Amino acid sequence: MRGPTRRVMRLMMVLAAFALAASACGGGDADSGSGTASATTAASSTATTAAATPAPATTQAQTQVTIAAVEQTTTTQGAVTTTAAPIPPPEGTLRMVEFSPVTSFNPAASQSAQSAYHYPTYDTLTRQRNDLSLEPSLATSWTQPSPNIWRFTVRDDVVFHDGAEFNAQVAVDNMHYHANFQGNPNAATWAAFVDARVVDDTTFDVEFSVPAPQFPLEMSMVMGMMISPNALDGRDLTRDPQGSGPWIWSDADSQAGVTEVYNLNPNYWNPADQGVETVTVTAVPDNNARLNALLTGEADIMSTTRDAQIDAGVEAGNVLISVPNFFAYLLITDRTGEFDSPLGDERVRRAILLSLDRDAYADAMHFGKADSLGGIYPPAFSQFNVPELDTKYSYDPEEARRLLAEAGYPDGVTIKMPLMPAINPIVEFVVQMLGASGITVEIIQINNGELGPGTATAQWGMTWFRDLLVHPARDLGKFMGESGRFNAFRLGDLDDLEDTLVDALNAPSVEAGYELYAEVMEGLIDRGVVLPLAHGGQNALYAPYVSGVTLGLNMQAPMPYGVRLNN
Amino acid sequence: MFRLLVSRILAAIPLMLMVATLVFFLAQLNPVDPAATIMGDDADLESLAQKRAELGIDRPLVVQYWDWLNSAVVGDLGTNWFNGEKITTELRDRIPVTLSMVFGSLIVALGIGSAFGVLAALKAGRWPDRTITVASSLGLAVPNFWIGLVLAYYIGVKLQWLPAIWPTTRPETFFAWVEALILPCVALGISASAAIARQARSSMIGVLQRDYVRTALAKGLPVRRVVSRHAIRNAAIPVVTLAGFQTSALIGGSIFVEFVFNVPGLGRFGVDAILRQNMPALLGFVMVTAAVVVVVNIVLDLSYAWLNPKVRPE
Repeated sequence: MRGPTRRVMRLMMVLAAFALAASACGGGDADSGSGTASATTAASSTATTAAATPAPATTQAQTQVTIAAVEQTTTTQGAVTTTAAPIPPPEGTLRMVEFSPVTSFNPAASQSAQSAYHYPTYDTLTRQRNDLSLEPSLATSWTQPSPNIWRFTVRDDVVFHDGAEFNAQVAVDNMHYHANFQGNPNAATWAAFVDARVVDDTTFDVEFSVPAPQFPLEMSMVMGMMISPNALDGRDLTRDPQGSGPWIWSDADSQAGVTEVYNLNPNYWNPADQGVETVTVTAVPDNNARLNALLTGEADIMSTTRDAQIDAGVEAGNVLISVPNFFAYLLITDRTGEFDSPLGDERVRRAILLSLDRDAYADAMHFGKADSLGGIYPPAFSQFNVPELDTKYSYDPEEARRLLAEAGYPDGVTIKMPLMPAINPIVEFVVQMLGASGITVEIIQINNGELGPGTATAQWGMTWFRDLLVHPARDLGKFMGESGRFNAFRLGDLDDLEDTLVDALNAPSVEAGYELYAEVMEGLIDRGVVLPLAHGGQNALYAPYVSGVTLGLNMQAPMPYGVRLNN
Repeated sequence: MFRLLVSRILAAIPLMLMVATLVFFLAQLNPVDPAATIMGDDADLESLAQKRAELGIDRPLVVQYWDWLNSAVVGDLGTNWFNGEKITTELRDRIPVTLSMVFGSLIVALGIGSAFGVLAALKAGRWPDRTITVASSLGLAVPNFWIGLVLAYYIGVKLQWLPAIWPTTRPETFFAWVEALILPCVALGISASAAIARQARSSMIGVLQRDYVRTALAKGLPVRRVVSRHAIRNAAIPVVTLAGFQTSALIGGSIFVEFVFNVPGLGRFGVDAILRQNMPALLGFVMVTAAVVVVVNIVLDLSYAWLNPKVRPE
């Protein structure tokens, strides 16, 4: 810094210090936090690294998502704590920045998008590895005695923060609590839940009305977080988490809506997970501010990284971790033309599919950070990816116009679509694409938060939608059947696909069911139900001195387990 | 003076009530369903209905408002629908932050605005005056959140001279607190400084043309002494008045600047409440903001009465 500039800066600081002295005394808590000096140091080292060597962008290649992974882990008993090497003591404060503040510390009342606030203080039954396979956590193993029943064996050395012990009965009570919690945002997970029963002190069964191969995977998410038995009696957990996790939430150090602070749990059953002494999760709603926090060393991990921000973050020396399960598509629920008569004709739906320029969409909406393949599961989901579907339908506006004419709409058609502020540019882009083929879109203006409920209640016949892909049972089942949430018009045109999906779920292995899954996905695309747009990623960036970062399916922020700061 | 104070405070009570009533019913025009926002896209209709009942928004509006008012008069502003925290607790944590920022930006505005305004007046009609006039026009035209974005990127991220974002852990020391507030205060204070510069310039030009200034200069007093000892004091009165009005504007402007720098103050709290139709938070935010504006106006009225006995009530 040159002399005159330094003087100006000093002058400004002195002025501001003088100006703020009186009021700051009333608002500045000086009892926590890591201070600016360390942040500046971190930022400097980051910048140096960036200049020396561009950091690699590590993308998680998801190879084994569900059943195969589960089968693999069923033989991995007690793998978590079996280690001969001495565990280094936890050091430092891990600072994470999140898109939104926590709504509730009750996992049964929380969306998975908020799980960054829950993972430090709750344990799940299972955990996802970086390859998205499962590993034991509170559950040491899990088997499937029959297609509709999962049997879990749990640890016997786990103690909740309030001193209560964990066992099979507590797990069963938690199953009932989650399944019956009024207003559970994850109600879909528990829709087919029948019962949970204790087998012995460390074993319990969970029964469903239909096969639920994804259930162990879901037990690695908020749905699988175990709450202390003392808090299952209707206690308000909104700002009172009662878990058994590696860190204990600190009410005194936290500020609602701003930062949540978690301090080390000295009685944790797996000290290897505790790489840091303290975890803080701060809500930074503004995308630029969140990236700035990482770039200036004010944060160690930045979740919910927009595609447009990836290059800036990586070029500055940070590391990208991405789970490729973001799937954008057009969903057509009105396939009898009840709401929009043209949609009742399969040729019109096909014309819409052929009007989608997926390459342009991926470039414009995802800044080239998404693939434009035409299937439902991207190649990273090797178990469910169908390569033939990826290239089956390409952008062809001429053919789209021909199909429209054949269907009796030579002058084009008008279709209604909802638009809410959060997806404004996306829908506008889709409108332009469709317009090139003579498909005019009439906008239904809605508010943020209304897209899902409105789609489920048949307020429109076609909409842009997005999913975080997990498993066909969860991702595809909702479009079909009497109870399918997004079979909004309660149609029976996909009943055959529903039967095929059930057959696939009943198959002895994912490999055995592959052809059936493929048939279901092909049917959904061919019949104009799901019209793929792009496959993107759930992205997070972390500083180069951070190690042990794991990001899983259906979580927007990495888990803090085993994360260490090497600065 | 005491009677003036009491009358202003008594007048503020129905004003606050009116503001709360208006905000409550006007906010109902916002069709955002807070239950849907809390529950997310995956929630089913039954869960949504349950959440609405839990929040109490399935009751008639008048009942909701009456319940809130009954609690508010005894100091209970309710609970945040989105995090379960008491609104009074959240406001207690956030008010000092925003007031610090507003106070700091006012200092920035007064410092920069007065200095350049006086300089422009002294060099009236010459290039420094024209430059400052153009700059002040720009300062008025450019939105403070844009200034904030530019400052955060160049000063905070590129040069790393000052924090680009409020510390993710609470500022440990007073210096860290002040340091974190510098860029937000500058971003917020720039526009106000432009307005003050213009006012200071015209006021100073007027004073410099008064007889007593001409006399002082004719007696051979140095210009610097005439300006600092005699002219500035008289020219400052309209500037101070404007600064009082700017305080209310700065509270409004803090909403955007707090977002850019992630400052955990009232502005961010208010915007979040509006966007998510978080009614208890919105009403709490409005009541506090209105109270601050009322207090500022009372102080302004009192200062007029103190400065000018002619405006004191009989």
